[in-house]
Amino acid sequence: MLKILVGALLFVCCGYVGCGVSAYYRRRSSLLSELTGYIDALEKGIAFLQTPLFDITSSYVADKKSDAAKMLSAYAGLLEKGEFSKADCLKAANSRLLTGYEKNLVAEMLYSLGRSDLDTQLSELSKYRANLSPITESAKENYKKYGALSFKLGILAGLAAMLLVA
Amino acid sequence: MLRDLLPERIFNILTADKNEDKLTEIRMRVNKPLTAAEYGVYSTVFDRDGHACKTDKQDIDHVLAVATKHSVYSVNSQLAGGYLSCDDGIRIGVSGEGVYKNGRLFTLKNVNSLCIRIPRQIFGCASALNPIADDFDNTVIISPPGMGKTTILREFVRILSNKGKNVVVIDERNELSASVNGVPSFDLGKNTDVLLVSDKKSGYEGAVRALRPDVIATDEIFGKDEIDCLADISRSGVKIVATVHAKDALSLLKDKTYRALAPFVRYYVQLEGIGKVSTIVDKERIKSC
Repeated sequence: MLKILVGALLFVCCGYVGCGVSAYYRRRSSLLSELTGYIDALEKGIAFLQTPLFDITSSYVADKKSDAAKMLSAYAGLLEKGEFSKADCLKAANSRLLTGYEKNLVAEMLYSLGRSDLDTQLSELSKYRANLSPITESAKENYKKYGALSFKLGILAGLAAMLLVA
Repeated sequence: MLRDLLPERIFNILTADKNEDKLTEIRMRVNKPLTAAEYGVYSTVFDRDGHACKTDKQDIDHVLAVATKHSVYSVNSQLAGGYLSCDDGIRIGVSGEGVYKNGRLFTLKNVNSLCIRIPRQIFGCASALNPIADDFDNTVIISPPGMGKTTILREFVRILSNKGKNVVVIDERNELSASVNGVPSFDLGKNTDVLLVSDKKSGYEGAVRALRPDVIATDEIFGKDEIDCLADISRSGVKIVATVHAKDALSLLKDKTYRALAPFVRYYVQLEGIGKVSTIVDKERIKSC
């Protein structure tokens, strides 16, 4: 009876780890995709109506509860206050789903927003898109490759552990 | 708005020393004492310990960040014109170092001082202009800066509008209407349309062609080009009411640029003291005399 219980526990643990790893790839891919989407929204909002950043950001995150929405809501909070620093942006961009380089890139982008004229702003956004796009693509690829695989591996490892113990 | 615009420290000191409801101007200069005007009367702002409240570069950067909504791209043309328009009609005069592109002033950097002007709506302040409103014709309101021309014009627009005239306000700096998201905060009357445009010439054209106004109102006319536009509007049958910086009608019409107003402007309203109408010159009456 104890063996069955331990086996079941191991199955659940391995399955949980598999789910966690899979969720990491999914969330990372979705975070980066949404950040790229935010750049699209910025380009549209800025180029045509020259809408202020806060309005673009808050309408982009409205009704979203994703990691990107949390990050951008923190940034919108900074926009509501007075002047803020790059360190504040880094704090807003701090996510376990991003590497150090990526956090810096996002923080640098957020800090640079709204500090230049229209043409410069749009060309800077293109630069950040060019930097972020390959990372986003690679995150999507990784999710396709490893997302489902890690879930299945977790289940398989759990079953194997359960059989071994039993 | 002032609470959001100013750094918390400055706002607290300012409102402890001055009556917020009476403030009409605030001047912030890097490393200099803060000064504020209550209904046009300037004085230094002191903290509770009696020390003059000094403003630094950080304070000015804070105000700029809030005033531009962290979106310089959306207000760069204003910055190049030396001002920023905020919600609630607050206008900030900006001085700093000019940045030039293709030989033209492109923007300002290293901003070192700000002049924050807070508009007030004073109902009844233009009652002296009621006789003009009944027999309305092209009018200019004349005074040196800071004497309440805009406040008088705003109230006069409300009077004209409520008398049934379709008034289009060309609000270059959002001072007349104090619009928030395009909706005027001040009462400009029931028949008033507000065009918030930084290019007045396009505004005049659009208004005459599309909005069928009886009257076009604008603040601070400046230079020959604008006077030519106003002459065109007058020729098209639309009446004008505008403000202009000058000591009085005589000095205005002595100026070779502003002399061009004479053929089509009938009433010259001169102010004396803050927001007080001292003289109304009616060109038709002078002629008949």
